[in-house]
Amino acid sequence: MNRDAAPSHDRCQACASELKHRLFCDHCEKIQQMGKGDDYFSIFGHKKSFKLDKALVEETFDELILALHPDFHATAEAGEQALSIEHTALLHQAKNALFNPYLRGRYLLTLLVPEIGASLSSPPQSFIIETFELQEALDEAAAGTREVAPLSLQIEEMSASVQEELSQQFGDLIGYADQPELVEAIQGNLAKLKFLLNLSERAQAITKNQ
Amino acid sequence: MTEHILGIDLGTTNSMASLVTASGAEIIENAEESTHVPSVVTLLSETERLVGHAALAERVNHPEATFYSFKRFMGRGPKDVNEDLSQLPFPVSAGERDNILLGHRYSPEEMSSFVLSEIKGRAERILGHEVKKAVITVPAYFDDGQRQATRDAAEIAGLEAVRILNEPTAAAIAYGLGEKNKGKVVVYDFGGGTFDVSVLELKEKIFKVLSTHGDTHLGGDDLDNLLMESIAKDLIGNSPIEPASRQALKKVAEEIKIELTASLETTQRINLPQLGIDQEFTYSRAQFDAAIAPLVERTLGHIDQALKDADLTPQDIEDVVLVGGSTRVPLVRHRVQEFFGMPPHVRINPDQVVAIGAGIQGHLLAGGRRDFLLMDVIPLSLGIETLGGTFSKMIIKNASIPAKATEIFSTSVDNQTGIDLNIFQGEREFIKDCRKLGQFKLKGIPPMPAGLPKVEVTFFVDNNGLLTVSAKELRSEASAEIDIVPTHGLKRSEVSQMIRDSYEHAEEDFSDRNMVEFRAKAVAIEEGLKKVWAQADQFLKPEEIQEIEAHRTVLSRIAQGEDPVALKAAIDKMGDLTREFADSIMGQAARGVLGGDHS
Repeated sequence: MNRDAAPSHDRCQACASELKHRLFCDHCEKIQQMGKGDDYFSIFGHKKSFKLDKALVEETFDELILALHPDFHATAEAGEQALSIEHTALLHQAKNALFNPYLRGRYLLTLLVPEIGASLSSPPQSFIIETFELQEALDEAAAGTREVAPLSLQIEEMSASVQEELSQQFGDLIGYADQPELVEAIQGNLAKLKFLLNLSERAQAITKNQ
Repeated sequence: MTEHILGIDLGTTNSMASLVTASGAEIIENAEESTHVPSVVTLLSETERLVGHAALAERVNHPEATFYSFKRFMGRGPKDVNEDLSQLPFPVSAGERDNILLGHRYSPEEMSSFVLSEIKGRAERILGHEVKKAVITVPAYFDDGQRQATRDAAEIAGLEAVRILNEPTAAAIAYGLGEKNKGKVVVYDFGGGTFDVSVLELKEKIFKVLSTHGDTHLGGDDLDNLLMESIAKDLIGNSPIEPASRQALKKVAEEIKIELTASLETTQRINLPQLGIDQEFTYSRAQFDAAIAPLVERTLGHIDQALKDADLTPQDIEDVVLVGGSTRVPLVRHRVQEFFGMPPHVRINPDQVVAIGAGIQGHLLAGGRRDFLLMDVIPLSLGIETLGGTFSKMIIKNASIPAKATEIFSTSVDNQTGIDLNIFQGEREFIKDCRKLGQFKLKGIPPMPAGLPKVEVTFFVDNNGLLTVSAKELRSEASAEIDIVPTHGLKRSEVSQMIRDSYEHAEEDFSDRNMVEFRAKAVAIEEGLKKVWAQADQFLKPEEIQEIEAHRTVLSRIAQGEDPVALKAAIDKMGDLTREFADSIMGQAARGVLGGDHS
């Protein structure tokens, strides 16, 4: 088939049955080629949104992996095997990205404003100063002179509030993408989120080592 | 289904094969013979070879020609093996290619192939048809060299290893399909020569490995050795023992170990003519427990690590499945029970469960069933070298395979037209502490200021664990690619050491790494400033120029110190002082260099 033609999102490329999932036909069990409109969200049947329906992604992931995994195609022809390996790797990669709020945000922003690419901005100076104290507190926690649990809680709360704001902002951006100031605000919040996730990772490492 | 794929557990002390038939997965055996054979080979002459029980029986008569535990040498070089080889009754020597030879001429792969060949022959006689393919199990912690050696052994024996499967995972398949298929379970696999622990999540049809840890040099053999030393000490103190007596003692130790599984004390007749010993010997379970306690504790340390890697605590685990003959030792069961606060699962046969699981996976790969899926993981993180010798992880250990990861990197020097990509594997923050897997160069990048080229690096691990790395500069479309076999030749002791170190040094690395990154940043700022400083008076007031000049001195002084926090603060201050200046004179490229960009 012509790879350049945008494939239908609703019909199987082999038997034209209606598709339940983008990557696999339940009817004739053919693995589907990826099309131009496909992204991490569409393969799980999820709308483009920062707010994630985790249960939906989990459920679709399980259904897809049970259809696509190369172990089920070990006796298939080489092309089908290769497609199954590629798609399974993609499923893992997509699920990882969607379940990490920073990666999810970065990915969604790239989808909505492609010319921005994956370029990053830095968190505002005021935020750095604010979190500097947190970093010092984590140093103390690592040295065992301070409780880590309240710090973890503080980091999680900050992270939740940034994510709440991002949900709002992405909602607005999806409505109308040509808003440079909004894009900048989202980039700022993503930078904050990345910073907070790193702090959270560090807090977890300290907890584990105790 | 067009063909049969056997499941073979190629163990350190025992091996066997299974096959799925109409009545389910079973060890291949009949009234006359069985594929369950000890992994022992006796070479009586060029042409006369005994394998299995017959070889085991010759161990005392022909200690120097009876080979066992050769699984420990698979895929290893002489330097990898850190046990005292002189303690072994058969000759082990270094070959010409840094390989190991048994009896001066046989590779460990050949020894394993003798066992596989015996199993293949027996299976064909019992089944009445030819056997060509098998799923063969290995310890989860086997590296790629060891896996490749196992593949080679199969090939020598005339078998295609369609999959190399991890032993604890094979056990989990049999357990998950036979017992219960929901919840988080730990497989504790204490075999003849190796120890593995895997944490799995069972979700109806999907069995997902969450983490795995282990030691390829910790098994029942080691328990026997400790027990033997303890007995020898009681009998003869520290006097030397020649091979025949050593073999006789080993046999006694094994019998005592088995006796003490059920009773608290045992008395054995010990006859060692060369040492002038012929007496009754009494040994208690308490003595046995004391002798082996340090090894059992080591296995608990591995469980702890595996649980931490999976972000779980012992309370999250619903069942603990015991695999391997060494889990019959009462102390092992007792300590595992204490660790998890519940009795382990002992209903399945710990000797057969790995082979059975491998047979079921073989059935699946032959297209015979598709009602379950096993999702396995990579054991160590993969990544590339970045600025200042730091290790940038692309695919984190315990990631499900097949796996893919893509990241964008850039250049650090102006007009750089090529980038060296150095690929490493390990858990530490610096590449000097990781294992190098390979390297390649991406050429043909058009000259651009540092930081402007966009180099997209992609790591891809396929379903057999093979790694491919590719790189592409997005503005010029220049690209390069390399196929890599991960962990190839990686020494086991090094992997264990790397992982141990990564936990011990995690904190220290963090500040070390910050210091390297911050210093590079400080140098970049100074370089950037030098380039544009001549224009300073066009954009800045004299007092601003003075302030920046003063801070330049401070920054370079702090950059030579060892305080990452102070250096970070100084860099940030410079960013603040120069932000407007940077904005006014240059575009994005200069802003990056002047410290406003934290990416």
